[in-house]
Amino acid sequence: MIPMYFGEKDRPLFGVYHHPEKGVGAHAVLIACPVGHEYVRVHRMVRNLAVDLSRKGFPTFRFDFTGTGDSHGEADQGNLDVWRRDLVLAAEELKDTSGCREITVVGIRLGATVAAMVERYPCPVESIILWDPVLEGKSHIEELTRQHRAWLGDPQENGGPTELLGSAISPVLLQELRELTLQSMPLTSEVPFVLAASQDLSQGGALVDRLKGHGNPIESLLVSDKYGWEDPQAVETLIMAPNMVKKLMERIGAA
Amino acid sequence: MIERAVSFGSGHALVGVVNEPPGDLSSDVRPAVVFLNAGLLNRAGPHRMYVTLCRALAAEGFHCLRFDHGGLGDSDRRNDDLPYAAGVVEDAREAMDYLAETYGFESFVLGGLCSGADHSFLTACEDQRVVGGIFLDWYAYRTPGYYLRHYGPRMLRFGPWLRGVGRAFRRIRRPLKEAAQRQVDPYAREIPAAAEVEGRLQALLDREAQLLCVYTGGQDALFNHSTQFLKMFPGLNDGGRIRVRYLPWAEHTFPIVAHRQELVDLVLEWSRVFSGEPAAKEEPASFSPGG
Repeated sequence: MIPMYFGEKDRPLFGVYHHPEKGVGAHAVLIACPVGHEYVRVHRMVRNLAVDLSRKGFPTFRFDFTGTGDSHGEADQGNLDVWRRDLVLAAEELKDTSGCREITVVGIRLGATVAAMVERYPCPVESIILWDPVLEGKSHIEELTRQHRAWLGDPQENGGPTELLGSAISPVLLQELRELTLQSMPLTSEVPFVLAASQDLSQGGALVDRLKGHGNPIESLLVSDKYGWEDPQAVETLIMAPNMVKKLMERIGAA
Repeated sequence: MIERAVSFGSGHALVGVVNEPPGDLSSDVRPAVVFLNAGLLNRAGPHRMYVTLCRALAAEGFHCLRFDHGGLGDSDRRNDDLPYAAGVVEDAREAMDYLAETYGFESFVLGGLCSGADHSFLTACEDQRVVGGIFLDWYAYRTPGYYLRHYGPRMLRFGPWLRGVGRAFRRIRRPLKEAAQRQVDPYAREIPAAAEVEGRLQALLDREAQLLCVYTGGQDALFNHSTQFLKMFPGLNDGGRIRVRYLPWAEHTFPIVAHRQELVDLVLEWSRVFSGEPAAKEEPASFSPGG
């Protein structure tokens, strides 16, 4: 396991590369984490997933988006556009470090949203796995605001929250999320998708239809678990998600 | 400022990030600062609190390290049989060893929130290299003054009496439940008796360690006034080396950005004691019945 900074010198991103413990590592996995408080909730689970994948022979790279974790920038320097660029940089780093011929991208929550919106990846993509993606930005802000209000009081200031659940949020990101809808979001073309959905995801069927209409092959992995992404009582609980991790390992291993 | 991703310790099992100050600020006078995990959260800290603190301290000339204890964040589990509490102390010592070998540091400040504060204290007690501590929501013990401030206003209201009866029944069951949980949960927070902590704290102060203790409103089950600190340890001779701040408006993990910035400003102001300026004592109290 190699922790590292990569990307642009004045905007370094933090990532961890897991080298494959067997095989030649032609097929690598790139993990796009959530942001904000959801990042903390899944951090150890993502680390363990990466370790397990590397033990199965997959070079794996996970990283922190701008304004999250150990990457450069404050929270309000992150937005969907910036994060799409970060994800492309991470894919390039994975390709260069591992020498892989193709990658599977695993995105979780807003990380999944960003992964689905990348116009072009720098290497062939076996599939993009979307774990409980955020599909309607306006309702996502409303849910975060509701959780914030339940825990900390009213975050509203002059027409929009400036911080939610411990993270500052920029007007740019707010506007991007307000405009984000399932029907309008750009989608990566000519790449198979996998929808990894828990009971928390309410628009899985609509997402499948949208992807089919866009010409993307789509399959589904469903678990009966609930992770409480939008539960005010669960804001500070950690998620290990053994059932979802098992399904992801099986799906990636079968590719 | 440069941030370096590092791995160290036995088998390079521990993962962290070092902040190196700009070259013109780097100094061999200041100690290095190490932040220890808060609970089960990774080294970034609650709401990236440790990231913010490390970057701010580095801008003031301090080398900083935030890292994950074995089994937390990115770090592998320890491969020995040490109990958890002993293991975290060993991890902290390995962090200091790493900074000593890599950068030549001989003195350190350890800091953290909640269990991070506890483990910073425990390590400081065992390792003479620790010259300072940043203890956020550290151990706290109720005093007569605490009870007076907590219950005094409530005694004049009828509703709380009724709710208190219900809580009394639940409180009888709680210690048993907590004791049972502690037996199976190695991460459960153990708080030693005040007398034991006072003795160890005195030993720290006697070797001239400087301490910053910050309590939040999130600790109001145990702490509710800045003057309570020295009342918790009545025999302590602090020699002016403890600064206590009480931030009742702040929640335990500092989720509000402005409160986190206030904490950063506090830590930076206190850190100047390592530039040769004396640490101020705790704030003068306003009316504080009891203690």
